[in-house]
Amino acid sequence: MIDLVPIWTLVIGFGVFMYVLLDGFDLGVGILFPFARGEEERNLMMNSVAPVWDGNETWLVLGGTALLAVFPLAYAIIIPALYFPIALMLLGLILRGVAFEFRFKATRYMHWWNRSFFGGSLAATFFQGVVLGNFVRGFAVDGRHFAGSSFDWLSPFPLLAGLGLVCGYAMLGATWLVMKTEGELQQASRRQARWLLLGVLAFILMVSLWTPFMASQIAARWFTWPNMAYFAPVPVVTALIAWTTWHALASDRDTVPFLGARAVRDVLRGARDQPLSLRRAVLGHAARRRGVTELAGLPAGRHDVPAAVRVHLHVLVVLRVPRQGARGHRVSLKRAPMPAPAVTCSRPCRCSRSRRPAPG
Amino acid sequence: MTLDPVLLSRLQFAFVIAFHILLPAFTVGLAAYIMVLEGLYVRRRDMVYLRLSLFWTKIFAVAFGMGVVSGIVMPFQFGTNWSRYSDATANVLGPLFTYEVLAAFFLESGFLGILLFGRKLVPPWAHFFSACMVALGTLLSSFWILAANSWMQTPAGYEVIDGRYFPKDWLAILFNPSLPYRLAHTVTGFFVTTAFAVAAAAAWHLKRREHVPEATASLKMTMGLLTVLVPLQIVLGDLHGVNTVEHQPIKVAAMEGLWETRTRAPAVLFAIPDSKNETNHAEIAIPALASLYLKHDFDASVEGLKSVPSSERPPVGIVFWAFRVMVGLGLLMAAVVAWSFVLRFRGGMERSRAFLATTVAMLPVGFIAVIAGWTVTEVGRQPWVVYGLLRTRDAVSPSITGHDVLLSLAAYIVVYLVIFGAGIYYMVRLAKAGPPAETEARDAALDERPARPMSGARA
Repeated sequence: MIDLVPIWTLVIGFGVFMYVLLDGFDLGVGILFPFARGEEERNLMMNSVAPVWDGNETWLVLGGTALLAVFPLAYAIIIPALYFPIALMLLGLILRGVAFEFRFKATRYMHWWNRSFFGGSLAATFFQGVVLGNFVRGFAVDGRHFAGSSFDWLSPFPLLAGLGLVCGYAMLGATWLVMKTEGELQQASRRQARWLLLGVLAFILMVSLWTPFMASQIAARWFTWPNMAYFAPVPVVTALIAWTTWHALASDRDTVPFLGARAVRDVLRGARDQPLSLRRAVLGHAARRRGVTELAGLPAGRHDVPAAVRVHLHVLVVLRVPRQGARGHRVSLKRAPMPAPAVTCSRPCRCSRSRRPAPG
Repeated sequence: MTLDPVLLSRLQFAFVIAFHILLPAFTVGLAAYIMVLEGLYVRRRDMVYLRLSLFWTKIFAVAFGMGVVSGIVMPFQFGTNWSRYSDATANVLGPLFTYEVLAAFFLESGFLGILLFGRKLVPPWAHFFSACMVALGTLLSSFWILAANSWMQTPAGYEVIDGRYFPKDWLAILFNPSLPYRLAHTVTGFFVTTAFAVAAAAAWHLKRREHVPEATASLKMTMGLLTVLVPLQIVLGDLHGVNTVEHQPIKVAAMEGLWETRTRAPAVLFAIPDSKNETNHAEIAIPALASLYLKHDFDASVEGLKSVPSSERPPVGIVFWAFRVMVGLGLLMAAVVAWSFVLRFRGGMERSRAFLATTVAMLPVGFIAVIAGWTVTEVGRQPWVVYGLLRTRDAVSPSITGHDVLLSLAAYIVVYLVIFGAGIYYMVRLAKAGPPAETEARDAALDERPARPMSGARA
């Protein structure tokens, strides 16, 4: 029988990676919400992510259930250890998720759903960073259980990781807005993105310096030969991408910053922390117990194929979100001027009905 | 004061799942109803069906969105509060939950987009096909989650290694003894709930003499469906009860309020069960009737609660009363359906003000019955989380304290009350606005597509 552990580690690692990539920018747009000037800009910002946010979030549910199904021991140790960060992240996701629905229906209470969208996005992001920081820090384990208290997560390194992720997602959000909007909002997003890029680099530096001192396993992995050679390009590539992103933000290129911002995040958090730490947490605990393969609960790993297809479709959808603004096809919710239809007639909305005969 | 993390975790799970289950109870049936409306529209080209479909799709979008956000909470509850349960059962139940997620994601989310926004982008048959796939997705989702729940009620096809359960026979796990009855009873309950909700909206419009053609059509459709489903549901409930007597006799003893094992067991109509003194107060009962409907034989012996030590009995009062609420509401629904049947032959169902007012008032009845039924089966399983194998108190995460759970429970209650309050308010507002007018419906069917998913739900 094939060993399912590496396959599923890749599948889950890939799921987390996709999640950070995709939900990262729409949470970031939420974090930038209070900096918008006026409801019109907020409408544009929300519309730019509205078609894709729920698809982005499904990756999180997939990650949660796949961890339960495939690495139940890791699930049973890690999730209770992160009792409050996970509960607060979920509440944040609920509050921001319904804001998409309710904000456009609300009349008097719209500002409350603005707050709920911002607060929920901020809380969900911060506590995801806390979860990530705790992954690097490790968990107290006794037998098959988490042995610490529900407040163990509350320590400086995870909190720093939380702030770092807020900064990172906000940068992703800002570069997304550079790519998908125009005019003043786009210019403001450019300025925000540059500040946030500096912030992200500062956090990356702090986290990178702190990590080897805190987790000796990671230090051992980083600073032994030949691993050092493999990891050596990581800081160089990061610096290069950051430099490119900075200059793209200064010029008038719209898409490069978003790709660059993604790459900065991916190279660092994605390529370094997550797969390694996930492997460490999952395989480390497992190996210490009863051999590795017994943890694989499924008879066959068939889910990776549809997952891959789904990524493809979803990435296409994400890239096809039209630019929001006066020039765009679909404008704000206030239904500002639509582009003139190709065939002109006296009643603009009734012309092109040729695709299907009018029923009834 | 010491706070019990087990009790509080149970309250928290009961709270989040009770709110979550309200949405599938509505969306499973509504997805099928939209599918039927789309099918009728494709076949008959009657604008009434199109307008009804547009109308209910808006409400469906809101309910579905709330189902998604309250559903994200569920897979994490098993880990945060019930880590020992997850550790013990994940090898059996994990794959079932994963399939549930995949069914929900791939079919529902994938085709929901086409259903909500693809009307002008795809041919009518493809739009109808999407409606079918969304309905199928909700059904498959229910199948997987109820398979997992049924396994916890009547475990089968497993082996125990080191106190953990490992799969031996997947077919036996999936089609465990209680699954067919639970699945049929639950899904029919979802359909009945939705049908009463749809009928209530139609009756409300008819009472006010607005949207008459649509409301009449939908009232007649739903009442016709209920004429079949409500009697069917009573039969299915009886069969499910017989199955439960066989596999979980103590749950049935609690439902019936029977303390002694005896032949010619009475059907208790009213009582105040007293777990301390192991007796009922103020009991009103019909002799020998319970033996008849549980075992289909007057002289059959029915097991009582006293046949097991008190540590293996569920909380009797809750199960007893939740069961009476469910059955009582079932009989009420049957009475309304019988009334509609008489009116259908006499004519004038859509004009009888008393009938319309009653139908409007029946709106919450299905939802309450679903929650009551869920309470019967879940509380009735106590003190076990996996029946006969794993006790609930041994399933809770060892690291959490009562104060932890109290804090999180308070946070969930506050957020859910706000979210569900707002959601119900917006859905009722959409329902009151009624189906779109003729021109609007035509535009919606043939105009530009909306810019964002779920904006189809915009009022």
